[in-house]
Amino acid sequence: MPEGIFSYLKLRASWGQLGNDRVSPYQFLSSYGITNGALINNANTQGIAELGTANPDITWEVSTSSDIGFEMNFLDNKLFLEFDYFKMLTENILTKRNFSVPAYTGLILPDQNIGTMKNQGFELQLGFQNRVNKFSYQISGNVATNKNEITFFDEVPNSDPKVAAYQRLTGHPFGSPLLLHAVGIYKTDEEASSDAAIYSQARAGFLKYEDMNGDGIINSNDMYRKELNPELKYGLQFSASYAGFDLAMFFIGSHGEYWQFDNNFTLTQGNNLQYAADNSFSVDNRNAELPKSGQNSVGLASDFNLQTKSWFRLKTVNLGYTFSNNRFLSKAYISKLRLYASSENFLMLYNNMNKYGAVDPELNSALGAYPLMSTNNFGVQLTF
Amino acid sequence: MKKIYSKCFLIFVLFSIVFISLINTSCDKATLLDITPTDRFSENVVFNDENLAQSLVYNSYESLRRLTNPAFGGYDGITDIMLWSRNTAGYYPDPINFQDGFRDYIHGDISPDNVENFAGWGSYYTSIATINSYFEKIKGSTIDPAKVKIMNGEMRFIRAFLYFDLSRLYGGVPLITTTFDLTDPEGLQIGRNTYDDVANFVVSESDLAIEELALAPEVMGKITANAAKALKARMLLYMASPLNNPGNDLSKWTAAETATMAVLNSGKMLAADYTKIAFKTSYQAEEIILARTYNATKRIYMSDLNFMLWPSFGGLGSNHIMPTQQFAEMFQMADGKRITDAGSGYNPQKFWENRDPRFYTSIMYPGSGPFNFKYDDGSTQFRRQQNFESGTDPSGTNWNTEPFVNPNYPDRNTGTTSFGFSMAWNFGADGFTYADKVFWWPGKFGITRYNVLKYVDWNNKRWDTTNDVTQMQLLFRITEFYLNMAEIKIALGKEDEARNYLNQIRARANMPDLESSGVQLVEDYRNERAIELHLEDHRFFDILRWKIGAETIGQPTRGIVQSLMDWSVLTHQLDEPGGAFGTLSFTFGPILNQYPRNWDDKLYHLPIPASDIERSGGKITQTPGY
Repeated sequence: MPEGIFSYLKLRASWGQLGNDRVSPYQFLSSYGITNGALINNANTQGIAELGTANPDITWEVSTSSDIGFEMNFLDNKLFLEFDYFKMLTENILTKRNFSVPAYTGLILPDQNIGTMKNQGFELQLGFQNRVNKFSYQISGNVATNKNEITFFDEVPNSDPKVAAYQRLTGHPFGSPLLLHAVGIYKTDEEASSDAAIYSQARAGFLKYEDMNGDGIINSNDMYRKELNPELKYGLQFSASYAGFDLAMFFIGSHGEYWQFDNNFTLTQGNNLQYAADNSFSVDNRNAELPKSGQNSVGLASDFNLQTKSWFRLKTVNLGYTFSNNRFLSKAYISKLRLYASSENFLMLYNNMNKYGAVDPELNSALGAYPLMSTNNFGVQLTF
Repeated sequence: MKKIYSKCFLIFVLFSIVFISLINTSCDKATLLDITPTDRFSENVVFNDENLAQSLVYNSYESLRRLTNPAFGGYDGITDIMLWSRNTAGYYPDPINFQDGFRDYIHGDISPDNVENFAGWGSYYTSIATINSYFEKIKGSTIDPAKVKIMNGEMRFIRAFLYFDLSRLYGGVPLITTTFDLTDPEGLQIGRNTYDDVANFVVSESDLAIEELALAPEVMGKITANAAKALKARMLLYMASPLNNPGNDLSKWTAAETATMAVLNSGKMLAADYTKIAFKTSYQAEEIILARTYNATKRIYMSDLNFMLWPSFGGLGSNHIMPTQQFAEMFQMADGKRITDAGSGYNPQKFWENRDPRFYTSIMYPGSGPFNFKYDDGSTQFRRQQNFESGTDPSGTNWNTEPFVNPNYPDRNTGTTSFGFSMAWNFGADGFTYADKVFWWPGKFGITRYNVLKYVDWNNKRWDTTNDVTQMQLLFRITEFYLNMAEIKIALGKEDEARNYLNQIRARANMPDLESSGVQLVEDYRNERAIELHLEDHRFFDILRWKIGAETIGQPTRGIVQSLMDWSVLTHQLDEPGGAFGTLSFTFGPILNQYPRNWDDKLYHLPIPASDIERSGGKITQTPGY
C-alpha cells in the first residue's frame, strides 16, 4: 500500500445475538380477567372471561446479527468514508397464528414462536471537513437502505396453486399487503356490465380490476401480494463556523415508502379533499383520474390507493454567535456566552405528496395525524 | 497507602457480609422467579368459586346480543315490513346509504368476501368456545352441585341458542363442542356439519337444559327452564318449515306441536296490555320468557332510542327505521275485513279510519296522534306531524309571503319553486295552532312517511345519553308460541285449532275472530305474526323459512310517495284557531331513490367467509350458489 493515502483505516466486523420477549405477559398461564356482565333483575353484574388460550411453550425471540464495515480517512483526515453492511436473522418470532387458525375454533390466540425473518442492508457515510484560516466547515452525507424478507410465516396457501403463488407472503418483505390490481375506471354503466371480469356492484365510476386468476369474477382470489420496495433514506449535514458564528444544518430525505390512501383517495391532511373533489369521476367528468366518490370498489383494498412517497426536508437549523474571553463578561464570571436560534422541521424542500394536499409525508400513516410541528427556539447559553 | 488499603478492605468486607446474608436468608430461587399475576384470576380459583363462576356465565349472557339492537329490529329493516335507513345528513334519512352489509344483501352482492359485514361468524364461535371450555373445566368443581347445575343449564342454553342462530343464517355449520388444541394444527381443520346435525344438537341440548334449569329462579333477565323449552319449540318449528323440510315430513310438525304445547302449558300467558310489552318499567312477567334489559350505562345505542325512531321532519329525530306500506296494508279493518275485501269500507285517502286497534299503536302516520313529545330541555308539546306538498295557500295570513312561495329552495330537478313542507301541528284544548314549517324538496328523499311506535318511550326526552334505558330486547315471549302453534296446526290440517290460537291473540287486541281458511288463513296468520312480532327480529327469518324471499325482500319498498294539499276544499277554516287546513290526497307506491333489490334463491343461506374456507384446508364446503 503506497504511503500516505490513508490517514486512518479501520476494518471492523461484529456478531451478536439479542433476545426479545416484549409481548403481553403471562401468556403461558390460563387466566381470567374482569369484563362485561349481563343485567340481571335490572342490576349490573360482574362478568369474567378467559384472557386467551395459554401457550406453555412460549419463549424468547432470538435475533442474530452480523455486521461488517470499514472506516477510511484520506487527505489528512479531511475526507472520511464509512461503510457498513449488516445481516440479521430473527427466529422464533412471537406472533399470533391469525392466518392459519380458523375463526370457527373460537380461539383467542396467544403469541407463539413461529416465523423467521431476514434483514440486510447497508449504510454509507461520506464527509469532508476543512479549515481555512478562521473558517472551518464540515459537510457530510449518508445514505442507508435495508431489505427484509420473511422466510417463514404461518399461512395457509390458497387451495388453487396458481392463486397461492401470487398471494404468498413468505419470501416477501414484512408488511407486504394483499391488494387487487386496479387497471382503470369504468366510464359508463355499459362498460361495467359488459366487462369480461365482473363484480356485481360495478357501475360507471367504479374501479376496473385485473382478473388475476382468469375466472371471470373479481373477488379475494384476485388479490396479489404487492412487494413493497425498500425505502432509501438519506441525510445531509452541513456545519460551519467563522469567527464566533456557528451554523449547523441537517437535511433528511426518503424515497420509496408507501402511503395507503383510503377508498375515496382521501387523507386527513391539508386540502386533500379539494383534490379528491376536483378529480373524482362524475357524469360531467368521465375522464377523471379518481373513481367516483362514495362507494367505488368491490369492497377490497387495491393498489390504486397505494402511493410512493418521496420527500426531502431541512430538518434542523442552528445558528449561533459566541462571545468568549470578553472583558465585560469575565467581570461577571461568565466565560462564554452564546446566542442562538434553532429550528426543528424548518422547511420541506421537496414533497411529491404535495399535489394531493399532504404537507407532511414524514408521518407513517396518511390518515388521522397532525403534521409534525415546526419548532423555533431562540436562546442564550451561559457558561460560568 | 495503608489508609487506602484498609478503606478498601473494609468496604470489601461490608459487601461480602451483605452478599452472603442475602444468599442465605433469601428466597429460594424458585419462588423468586415464580410470579403469580395479581390482576387476574387463575383457572383453579375461578372454577371453584361460586361467584366467579357465575360471573363467567354472566359474561356469556352478553353473547346473546343481536346484530342490530332491538328497535332496529335485527334484520327487519331489510324485509318488506320495515325500511332501515342510515341517517347521513343529520335530518334526512337516506335509504341509499344502508349499512354496507345490508345493502349487499338486498342487492344480491353477498359473497364469501363480504358476508362478515352482514352477519357474525367468528364472534359466534368465540362465544361457543368459551362455553365449551367452561364445560371441560367445571368438572370436579367444589362449588355446590345445585348451583353448578343451574349454571350448566344457563351455559347450555346460550350455546344452543348460538347454534340455533348460526343454523338459521348459514344452514349447516361446523358443530364444535370441545376445545381445540393449539399444538395440533391438523386438528384445527374440520368440515361442516349438516343442518340436521346442528338442529338436533340444539334440541337435545335444550332438553338437557330444561332439566338442569328446573330450579332456576324467575328473575328479569335470567335464563330459566321456560327459556329452554321455548328454544326447543322454536328450533323444532324451524326444522319443520318449508326451507328445512322440503318433503313436508309431518312428523317434524308433530314434534314441533308437542314442544310448543309444553311451552303453552308452562304457566305463561298473554299479557293484558300489548302496548307496554317492550318496556322494563312495565315488565309483564306472565308474558316474557326471556328479555335482555339495558340501563343508564349499558345502553342500546349511545343516545336515546327516541331520537333514532322519531320522524326527522321538524328537527325531531332521524327516522332510522320506518314501517312500510306493505306493513300498513297488513292491518285489517276493525270489523275483521281485509282492506282488499269488498265492502270493507277501506278508503285509501282516509286509510286510518276504522282500522285494527293495533294500527294506531304500531304506526305513526301523517296526522296521527297527537303524541306528547318531550324535548331536550324537558318541556313537552302535543303534536301531530304532517308532511305534504302544497300549492299556494289562499289564506295568505298564515304564511310569510303571499301567495305562498318557498323562498329558499328551488327544486333542483324541475327548476320550479317547490312548495313542500313539513308541519308540526300543535293540538290544544280548543283547536290547532301551526307550529314549525320545515322545507324540503319533495321527491328528493325516499321515505315511507310512517314511523315506529312500538319502542318509543314517551316519558323520555328526544335525546338523552344518561337516562335509564327502558326498552328491552325481547328474546322469547309467549305470544310467539301462540302464533307458532297456529302455524303448526295449519300445517297439520287442524285449521279450527289454529284459528282458536290466533283468536286468543286477536281478542287481546279487541279484534273479532278470524273465520278464514285455506290459503287465506295462511295469509291472515302471516299478517297477524308480522303485526304482533314486528321489530323482534322474526320477520327476516320467517321469510327465509317460508321461502317467500322473492315476493317480499325482492320487492321494492312501498310507502306514501306523495301527500298533496288541496286548498280548495278546506277541512279547517281560515278564521278558526290555527287557520286554514285543506284536504290531503295520498299517493302510494314504490318510494323514490330506493336501492335496487335483486333477490336470488341462494340468499336463503349465507356463504361462509372465504377466509375460514381457506383455513379449514378446503374441508368446509361452501354454501351452494356462492
